[in-house]
Amino acid sequence: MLACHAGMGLNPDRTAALAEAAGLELPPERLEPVTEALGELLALARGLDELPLEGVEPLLGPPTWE
Amino acid sequence: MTDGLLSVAEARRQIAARHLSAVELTEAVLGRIAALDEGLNAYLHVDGDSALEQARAADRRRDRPALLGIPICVKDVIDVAGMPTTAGAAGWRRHPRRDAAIVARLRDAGAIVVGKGNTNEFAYGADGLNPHRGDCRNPHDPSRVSGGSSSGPAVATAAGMALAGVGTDTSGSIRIPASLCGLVGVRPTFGRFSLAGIVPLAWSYDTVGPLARSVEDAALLLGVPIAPEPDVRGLRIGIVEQLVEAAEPYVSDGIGAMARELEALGAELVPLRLELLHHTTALHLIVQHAEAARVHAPWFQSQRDRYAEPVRRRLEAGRLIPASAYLAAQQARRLVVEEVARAMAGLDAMLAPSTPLVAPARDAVEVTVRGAPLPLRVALLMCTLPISQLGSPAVSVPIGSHAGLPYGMQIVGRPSSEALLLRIAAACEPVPSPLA
Repeated sequence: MLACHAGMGLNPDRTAALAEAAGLELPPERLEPVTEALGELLALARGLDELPLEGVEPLLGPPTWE
Repeated sequence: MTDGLLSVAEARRQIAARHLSAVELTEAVLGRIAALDEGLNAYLHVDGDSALEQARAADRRRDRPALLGIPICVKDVIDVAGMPTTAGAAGWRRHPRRDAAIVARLRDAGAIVVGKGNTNEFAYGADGLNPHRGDCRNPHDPSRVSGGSSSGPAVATAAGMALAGVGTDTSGSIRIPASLCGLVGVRPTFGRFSLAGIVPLAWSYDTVGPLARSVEDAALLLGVPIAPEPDVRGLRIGIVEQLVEAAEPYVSDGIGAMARELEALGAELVPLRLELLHHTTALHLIVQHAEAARVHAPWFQSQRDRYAEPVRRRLEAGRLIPASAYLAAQQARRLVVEEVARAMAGLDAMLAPSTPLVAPARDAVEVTVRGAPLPLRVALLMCTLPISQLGSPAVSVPIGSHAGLPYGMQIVGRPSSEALLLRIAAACEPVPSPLA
């Protein structure tokens, strides 16, 4: 899924489509800055792909240190 | 000493001995607010009449709870009954009838709420700048940032406009202003204190804790007993080398000097390298963007134009983060916690800078750290954000100054190790030099 987003080449049109699917109204003047910000976040997410995440349960409660 | 600059511990002693009344102390604090706050902008709301009424009630009490008659400043994301909660925002506000759980707890202990402290908009920032309500200014040099987002409680405490403060810490929002204002700040164990009545920022990281002028004062606010003579003999303490090496040389040198001092007191210092540390910024930003966007979703559409641009952009982008990215970040966070837990086996605590530098100028967009230009926000968060992943407590204690400006060091431990961390912090604590 991450690779899919990384490879789809984010642009304002795709951001508009994502926003519509997410129920977020984005005025046209917001598409460029949001595309840039989302692109940065997705780039950060791609960097996590180098970690051995297969089989790791997401941490969705207080860390227990066990 | 001016009453507003008394420590919590000393004020307690004087009130207990009836050498000082809660009304006298509160009047002194209100006097300092009247004299200083126009230049520092620590408070968004002051209710002097209510504070004096609380003080008169405190003076009538026959019992002697731990914080009886102590005036405090509460960050304006935390509900105080009868005062507006604005979260430092342009238009958003609520009028709580009930205190947040942490405020109720402090009031039960006798504390007096003087007012609501400035904050970055919705606590979503690290510098203490607020385009809607005015920047909070560093009391050591008003041309410098105070650090944030718990800027108001920090500056009020440092300047004697409260004896202590209550802030929130998600990515470093207590520890950063503590470092830049020369205070002790505690990020408690995740979940130790209820967050009921507090405007959230990111559920995975939010905590509430004290800002104080001494370790003893911080311990009193936390309700954690500490020994009068700190003893670190036999403790094994790690030094997070990557964070120390990433800070400005004067900060690294300060931590090195403190490590030698702890060794001289009988602790063993151990170098520590954490392989996954460099992934923490990525995973943190993904989790925080997604959770903050969800927090703000109910009102975002109607309030969009009232947000400052950086916060608005983060909230919009956060709404569009794929669930797979969020879950990958939480998987990565589990790996980080597991790595630190393994590294801490056989250790009692670890040390790291609180900030990589002293307070930058308020108009700085970028700062230079170790010769490299960094966005101000990145620099301020780089030492505290990795620690926020762990769920463990962290105490920021002032350990030095550079060019007349203070900086602090984090002492980090296992979950629920606040008493031990405060004991180590007390051994590191300098002789106080309060602002005049």
